[in-house]
Amino acid sequence: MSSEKRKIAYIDGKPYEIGANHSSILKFVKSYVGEKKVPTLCDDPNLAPYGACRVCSVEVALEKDGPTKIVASCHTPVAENQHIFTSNEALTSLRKNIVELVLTDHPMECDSCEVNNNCELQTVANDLGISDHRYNSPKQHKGIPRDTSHDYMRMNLDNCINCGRCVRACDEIQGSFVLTMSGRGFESRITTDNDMMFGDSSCVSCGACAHTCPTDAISDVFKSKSADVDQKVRTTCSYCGVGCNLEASIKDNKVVAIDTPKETEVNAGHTCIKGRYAFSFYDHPDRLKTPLIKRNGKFEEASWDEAYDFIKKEMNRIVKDNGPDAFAGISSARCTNEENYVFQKMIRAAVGTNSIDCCARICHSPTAWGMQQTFGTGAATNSTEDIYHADLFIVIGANPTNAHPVTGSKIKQQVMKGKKLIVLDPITTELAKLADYHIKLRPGTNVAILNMMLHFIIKSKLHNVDFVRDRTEGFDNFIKEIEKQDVDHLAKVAGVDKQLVKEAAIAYATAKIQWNFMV
Amino acid sequence: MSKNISNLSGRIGLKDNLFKQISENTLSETPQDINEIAKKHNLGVSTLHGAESFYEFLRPSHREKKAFVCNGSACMCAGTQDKLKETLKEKLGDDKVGEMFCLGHCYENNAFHYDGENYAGKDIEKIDQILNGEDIKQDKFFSKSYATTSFLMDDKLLSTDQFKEQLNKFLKVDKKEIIKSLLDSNLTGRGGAGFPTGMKWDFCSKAKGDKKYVICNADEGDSGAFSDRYLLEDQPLKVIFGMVICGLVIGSDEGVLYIRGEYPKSIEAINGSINELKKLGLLGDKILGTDFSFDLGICIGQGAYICGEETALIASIEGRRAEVDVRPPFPVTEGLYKKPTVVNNVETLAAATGILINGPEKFSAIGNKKSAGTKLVCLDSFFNNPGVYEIDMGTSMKKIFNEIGGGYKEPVKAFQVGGPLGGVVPLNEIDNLNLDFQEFTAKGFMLGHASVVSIPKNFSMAEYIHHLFEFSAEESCGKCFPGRLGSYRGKEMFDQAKKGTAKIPLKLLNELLVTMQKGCLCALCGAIPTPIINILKYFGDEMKNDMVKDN
Repeated sequence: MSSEKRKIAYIDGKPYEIGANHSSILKFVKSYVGEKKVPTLCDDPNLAPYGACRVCSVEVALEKDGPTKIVASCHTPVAENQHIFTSNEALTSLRKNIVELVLTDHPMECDSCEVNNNCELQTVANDLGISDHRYNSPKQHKGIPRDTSHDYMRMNLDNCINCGRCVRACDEIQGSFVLTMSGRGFESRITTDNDMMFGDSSCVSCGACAHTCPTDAISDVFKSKSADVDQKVRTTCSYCGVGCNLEASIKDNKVVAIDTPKETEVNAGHTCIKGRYAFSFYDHPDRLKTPLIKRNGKFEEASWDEAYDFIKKEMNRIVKDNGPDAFAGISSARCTNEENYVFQKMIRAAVGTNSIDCCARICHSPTAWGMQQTFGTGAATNSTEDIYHADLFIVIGANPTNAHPVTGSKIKQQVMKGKKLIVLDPITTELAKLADYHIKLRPGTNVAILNMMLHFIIKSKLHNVDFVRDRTEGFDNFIKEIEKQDVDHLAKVAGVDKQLVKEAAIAYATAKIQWNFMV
Repeated sequence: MSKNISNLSGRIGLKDNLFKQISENTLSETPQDINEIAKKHNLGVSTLHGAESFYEFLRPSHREKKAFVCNGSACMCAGTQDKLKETLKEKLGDDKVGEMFCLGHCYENNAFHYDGENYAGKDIEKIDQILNGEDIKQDKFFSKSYATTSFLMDDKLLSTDQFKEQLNKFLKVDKKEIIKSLLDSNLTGRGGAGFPTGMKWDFCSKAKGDKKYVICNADEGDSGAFSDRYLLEDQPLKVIFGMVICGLVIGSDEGVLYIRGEYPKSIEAINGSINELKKLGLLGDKILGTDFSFDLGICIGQGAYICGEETALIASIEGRRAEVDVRPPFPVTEGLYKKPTVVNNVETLAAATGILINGPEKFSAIGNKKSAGTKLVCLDSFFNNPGVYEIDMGTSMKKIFNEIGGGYKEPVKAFQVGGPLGGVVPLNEIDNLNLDFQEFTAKGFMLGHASVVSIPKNFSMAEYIHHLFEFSAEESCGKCFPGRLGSYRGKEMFDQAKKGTAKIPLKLLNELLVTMQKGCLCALCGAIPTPIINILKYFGDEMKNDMVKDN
């Protein structure tokens, strides 16, 4: 049992324990009494508290029967013994009046709107029981031309409620700073870049803005927020190894849109252009849709049962005739961990051979081998969750914002917030631009740079002596090799500034580390 | 609130801050491509565009104009501005005359801005000389201390020699002693929120950070107030000394004064003082041979009242849109560039200096615990003795208005005390009030800056409410829903009443005012209902023919 004292706060008179994740009254209330109790328009659980819409206001007293104050729950911390009141006449009136103000600048043409019945504004207004406003001929931002210039995104600012969620998603999740609010006060509005058309802007099409937009002010060509579907299927993206959780909308047995569940650990509602919008290949005529069996020198379509029967038969024949080592399996880094596990199990246990490999043989085998030699296994030593706990990142010859965009964005977010970054790359990648130490080495000289770094660390005695003594073998030989290195020569070979490498090495050795091993 | 923009902007830092780069570039004759500035900061061009479009002075519609007529409350009530505008239009062309909100010449009105200078009073008579680029002799505001002990207007810190002597003395004083002095003095922030200054410095001194900042909030935008202008122009060393000592106490080596662009003379005065102090080694590295370094710079506001709100001010310097941020975190722990920061108003810093020089007990002896010491009070041109005065807290308003102010030049019916967000006090309520923050609040008003705008007898109160709503609609940052939409809808109600196209729906108006008061993120749109509610309470009858009760 935890020795820490449990802290209690009260929601509408009932006591609840304050948990570690309850960073605001809103999060606290939602976790115990559900999403609907306190309405909100500008909040998104994956974005920092913003405090714009004020619809989430609650009454708070610091003690029982103490004087109450109305506060926005999204950015007010929950405190011990606080009494939180989620609804009363004053709050209902406040919420209604605010939403009424929103409706004064909203077209109110729900029936013809793309997101009719899938709109957060509509839901909040309906729940509060308001469908119209009382203001006399209010000026409206109406008739802003729809921006259809983008290949994937759609912008319809007539329906925008200025909640800023799109701007914040572009900044806080993707880290691209494409969207902004411009102007001031009543005249403020969303725009891209320097007032560019969406399609001409620097947008990377991650879709985070459309995904968070509470109305159809930003949506996409697939109408992913409102597509008429038969069913939604939870799946894992197969484009790269990040493993984003996706929700495929299926209509007439075809994928019509992709959504991203907000609560998933790997991608938390985010994904990239590939995962979100590049799905039309599913139904492309060139794509294999059934297993093919080569008969009489020609591939013929077959059912899965036929295919499995064929595989079983052939597998048994080969193993019987030539032994298990005559058989080999090859899998893909883009399959899920579970799929790869099952496959290797079949090859190792059922077939009886260790001849199992994957498509990363060329790019990953040096790192995997090196790690195996050093640590005993060639697997990553960190989980993606560790990105949030690292003080420093080192990226060697990898371009994660391109190759693994969701993980790349996570690293970029941390670096923008002040975590240190070392990049070893001849190319000025998106991350390299932000790096504290961008070591622009000649291609093929990674080892030279790493030896230089080791040299500087050992010389500065920054290695953990106790750890080395207790848990390593052959370290003295290693030191001898490293000390022999001529760093001036190595710097010349790699074409880099020795001082920069030294500083990077010291930063590396004095920080907790996220080790990105994509050489 | 973008932590990313704050941090990326912080990589370049305060000296060459992004806001300065954006505004200087926009105002330059040969602006560079903003994509280049964006690239240098690893930011999107959208960030710069979003910030630039926020400020009145950076907009093309503003830059096309040559002269700007003050549209602050005091000049409006004085009724001098229509004629002034006509005169300027005749000289410069109809499309060359714009408006600026309060140039701080409330004691003489007729205020306008031309070619980087402010003019007021009888200056318009010399318009040809002004347009010729000749320097003209201008009247100054009248200032006098009526305080038991003067902390703000005395002559104890007028020369750099005095500055050096005091600095030498306080560099040797224990930091805890300085904080204790401020706590003992009962000084509360003079910018409006009234937080104890000693406590703010104490929190920031204890906050962890590899870098800390001191910010002087010199974005005095409240019409009626020219007290900060007085301090910046006539007592600049007192303000700067307060910042240096604050830096010493909290462990900061860099500060900035954010001065509104509407105050060119204040910028000039502070700039002059900073340069002189730097030359003498009283600012900069290792001051007076100690380990303490403190550098100081200026940020020039570009026409946004909201920048007087501390989180918006910080956002502004960082090159973000000057929108109000949620609290917590408070600036003392996460301020400029997410580093611990003290943001103090001009008068607070000058008062801190006065307290350290004169001793805290003299300050706390005046007034009461929550409203201690002396306060600058500004009286507008309706008084027989307009000017800025240092007055003991607790002094009766009657005495201030009748004796110090010398009564009124013409009949007045009410006063807006404390800027556009302050209460509107009817004439007969003045006798019941003393110069005391809590007393004003308890009666439904707000002392704020203690600036006074007189509303003459014949001035329409519906017109005054329209002015207030128009002000908040114009100056609202646009972030919070009730502020952005509410102030605009309120303005529309009074637009329509003015034009006679619709009557004011009283029930809806009252609901709107409560919604703004309870719902808004900050005091701009959240406090604008205060004077409006006061007017409806005390002068509702005046508007009854323009109103409908139900709607």
